[in-house]
Amino acid sequence: MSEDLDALILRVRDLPHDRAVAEVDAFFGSLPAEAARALAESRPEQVGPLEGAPPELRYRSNHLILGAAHQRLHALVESRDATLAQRRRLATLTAMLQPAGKRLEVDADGNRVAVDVPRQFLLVDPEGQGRMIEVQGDLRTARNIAVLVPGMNNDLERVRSQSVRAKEIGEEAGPGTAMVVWLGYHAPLGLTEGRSTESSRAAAPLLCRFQEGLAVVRAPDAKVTLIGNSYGAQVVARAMLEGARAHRYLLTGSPGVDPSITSAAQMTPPGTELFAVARSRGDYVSYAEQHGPDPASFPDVVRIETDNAQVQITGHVSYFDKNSESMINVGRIVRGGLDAVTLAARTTPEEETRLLGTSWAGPLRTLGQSKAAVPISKAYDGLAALRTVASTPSRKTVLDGARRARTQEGPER
Amino acid sequence: MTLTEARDLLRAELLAVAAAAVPGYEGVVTHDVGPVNPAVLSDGSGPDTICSITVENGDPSVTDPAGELAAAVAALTSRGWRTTVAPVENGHHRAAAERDGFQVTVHAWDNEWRLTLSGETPAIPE
Repeated sequence: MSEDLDALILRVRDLPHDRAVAEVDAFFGSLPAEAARALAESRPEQVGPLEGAPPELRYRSNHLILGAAHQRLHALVESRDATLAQRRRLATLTAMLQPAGKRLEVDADGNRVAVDVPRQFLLVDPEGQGRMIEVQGDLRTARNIAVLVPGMNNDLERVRSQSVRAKEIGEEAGPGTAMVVWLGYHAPLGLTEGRSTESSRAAAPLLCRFQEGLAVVRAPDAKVTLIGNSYGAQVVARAMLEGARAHRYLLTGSPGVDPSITSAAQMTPPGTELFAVARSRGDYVSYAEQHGPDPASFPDVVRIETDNAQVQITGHVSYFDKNSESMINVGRIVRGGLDAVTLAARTTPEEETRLLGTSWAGPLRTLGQSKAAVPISKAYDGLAALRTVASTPSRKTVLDGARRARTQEGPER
Repeated sequence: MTLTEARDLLRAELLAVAAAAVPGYEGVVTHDVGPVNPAVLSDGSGPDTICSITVENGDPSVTDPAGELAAAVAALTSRGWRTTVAPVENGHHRAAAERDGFQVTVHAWDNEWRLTLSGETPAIPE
């Protein structure tokens, strides 16, 4: 059986994505349940990341990978040989092994019960900067599935905040939604790497294969939305150019697709239900057009509104702010309420002059694409690293404080 | 206010409103992972300055999204929150609330007995 799996992995590696996942699906479909489970447990490194394999088996394999990595690091920390980075990674893996939260259900006797929701991973790569693909919800029964592709500076430590945002998108989209946080690639760490398309070009085929793998496990009538933000939009766009399969696509805060791409028609695969973009006022990343013309300026694009009377957002960091029109529109798109999506009425020239009374986007574009951008990027990366290190201890303080407080007050997590 | 105090305040508010919205049932905290980075989707490099908490409540034998949402909004208003109720949209009953930089969203759905209250603290650097 193990040899058959090795042969399968070798055979499908260079096949077109749809044929590869179909072969993997057929292989596991032919196995008795016990044998498939045994394979997931005896060969987790092979089954865990294998697109087309049943998600339940991959969850099990990736849990074992996580547990083994946790055990190794724990031993290192106990022996006092661990570096600071290894100690941080141990804390990350510990959190990844905890339940994601709780859910209200009804038991067999009709009583309401709160049950633990385990974390589910379709990929765990605990080495280096790390990669992971997390699923919230049930991929097999969901009516709507959204795949969220994070951008620059997301590693295994920092991606946990993405899981929280994904949870909130799922709440906006409503019951019957499954969310996927797809950090299946090595995101650029810093502006210097972010100026290159090396990461997005490497990520595109991985995302394409993931989308095909999704197609064999989801319900036939389930709709898939692919969301890319910032550098994640560059990844999604590159994958779209390679035919990544989804029903709806949403790019927010895009740094551009490619210098040759100037319209939605050039990049939307056949059968696309919606290709939408969001650009808030003053989004310097979109205006800089680091990787090509901003999709928000394409003549044939659907551009969603980001502001409402309650919450106005500005800049690059707020597309998923709570109660913003942007976030509400994301929920509408994911659940297929496309008739309710609100569209931006502002024009590009209006936005470009908004902050300083004169157009600053032109000079920003010139600067972003000039040689001077390299030292500027390096200086920014240095500052960003300082901000992150400075923030690290705060989480423990708050968690400890909150736990102490709750012990006295009563309510439990 | 520290982030710890903000987090505890938000939990208490969400639980109180959840209990007021569903007679006879207490709300359950379903998500509360501690501080996260609000700007994470842009570049992930910022500090963890907000807490996001979700509370669910509901009576499995009762499906009354409009009534429960109205009760939640009334409870929020009486506790000093500024509320906005959105028109029902494809079975989605939704209200937003704001107080002192805290944001809350209440979701209820046709054919769904669970009421979801989701809140976020303002950004508070430690």
